[in-house]
Amino acid sequence: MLTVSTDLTVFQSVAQFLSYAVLAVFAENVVFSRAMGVSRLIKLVGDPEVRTWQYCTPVILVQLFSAPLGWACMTYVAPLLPLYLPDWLPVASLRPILYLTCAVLAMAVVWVLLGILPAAHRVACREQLPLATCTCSVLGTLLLCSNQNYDLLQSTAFGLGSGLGYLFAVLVVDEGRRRLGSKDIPTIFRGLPSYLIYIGILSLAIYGLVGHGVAR
Amino acid sequence: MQNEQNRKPSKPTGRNVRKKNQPEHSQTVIIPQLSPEVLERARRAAAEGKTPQQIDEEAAAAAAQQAAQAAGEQAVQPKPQPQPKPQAKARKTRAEAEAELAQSIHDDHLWLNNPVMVRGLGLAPIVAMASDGDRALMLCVLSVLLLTATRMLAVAVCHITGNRFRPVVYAYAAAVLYIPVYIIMYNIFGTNLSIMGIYLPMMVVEPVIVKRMEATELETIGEAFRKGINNTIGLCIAILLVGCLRELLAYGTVFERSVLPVGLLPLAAQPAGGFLLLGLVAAGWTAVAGAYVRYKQEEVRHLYADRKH
Repeated sequence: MLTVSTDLTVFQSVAQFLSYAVLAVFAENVVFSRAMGVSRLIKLVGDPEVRTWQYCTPVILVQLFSAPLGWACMTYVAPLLPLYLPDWLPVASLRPILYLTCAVLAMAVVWVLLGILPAAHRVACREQLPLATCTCSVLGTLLLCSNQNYDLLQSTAFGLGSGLGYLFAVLVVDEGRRRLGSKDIPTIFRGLPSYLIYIGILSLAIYGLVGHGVAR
Repeated sequence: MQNEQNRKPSKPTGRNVRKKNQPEHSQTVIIPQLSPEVLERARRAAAEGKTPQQIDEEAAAAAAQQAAQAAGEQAVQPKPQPQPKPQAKARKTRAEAEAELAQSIHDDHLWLNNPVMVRGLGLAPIVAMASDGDRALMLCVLSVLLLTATRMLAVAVCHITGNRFRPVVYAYAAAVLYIPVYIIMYNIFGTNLSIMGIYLPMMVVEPVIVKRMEATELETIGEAFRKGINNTIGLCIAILLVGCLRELLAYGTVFERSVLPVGLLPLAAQPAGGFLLLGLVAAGWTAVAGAYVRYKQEEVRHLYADRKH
């Protein structure tokens, strides 16, 4: 039988999870607030051969599964490293290789999980999986969770929210791409410049909503 | 690549489509004194390190000597054998010239195919972090130390692995090289390095560093070195340009030296301002580069108008 305190704890945890996920989707969106993964996003929306779900499904899953691994790495591995490393080798220099390993392990898990999809979707998602893993949005989220000292719940929620936020950004920019193809736009602004200005305006809206710059 | 005019330079745009009855020659005469022969002579002169006049003199002397030798042989031999005609050097066709121009545009990573302004790579650190000259300089040093070395190491490993697992190989090559690079940068910049936040370690998966992982064909190490250097220079130019411009607009300074009494656009220091400013700079850059590309295309079309095949 659940007690009131247990109910409150579960409720608080769910609320905290949702709040961190929503925070990552909108207020701290990886693209609009921190410009992470924007190069790949611009290439993705202009690529007719790769559909949004083919790339974003692996991104969301890798973000979700790499977040707990990143938290474990930050909590258990990173404190032990100074004991074994020589003085001339700072721990900070090993951060990319540590968190990249977390992302690659998550990629392996996701590769197995994608096996439950129908064959056509499975092959399409697995083709994009390595590129989705080695991207700024995944590694940047892991590094950010580490810098912010998020716990397991917060890290997982932020990872899931970052993946969903990336999907949100791709959908918004993809919708804008259709309108940015208008002939009314001057020739020199077509392509990359119009994308950047469009994303900049959306980023400005997020900045106005938050009211301050986000942590880096 | 977003810049369609660089990817397909020979494709006529709607504005430049030639009518069926319109003559091949354009009304605009750009350099009428240049002909393919003149260009070929200039190319040979440049290749041999001589002036065109010296090339002409040498050609005339060789022709005179050949004529004298032929006359002497004719006098000695009563029944001269017919001399084989010297093979005329194959001249480039228009298609070849256009292909060569397209390749030169593609290989120009400094201006015409800049990795940032034209291809849209490396946007995350530039937009989010290169908000002043000092940070831009740190990013430049990191790019110089990391980009070319990563490309060469990854290519070497890909030769061993048979070009499989490219994304992982490229990312790990950058992550391994990041260790000595971080130590070097820490010795140069000290604790100021911490202001870069997550964007310094994140560079190991930045597309401008590991973009080559998407290409299926395997390049040689020498080619990786050459292209890596070109990309590095192009990236550094873009980073420094945007960084200094943002600092000037946001704070009125350049490398912390006062230039303007007040910052004209404080928003330029934020990512939103970075996106907007980079978009405007990229538009200007694309306009100038596109005008130059159109000029070169027109020049090739003009010079090779009589050689369609």
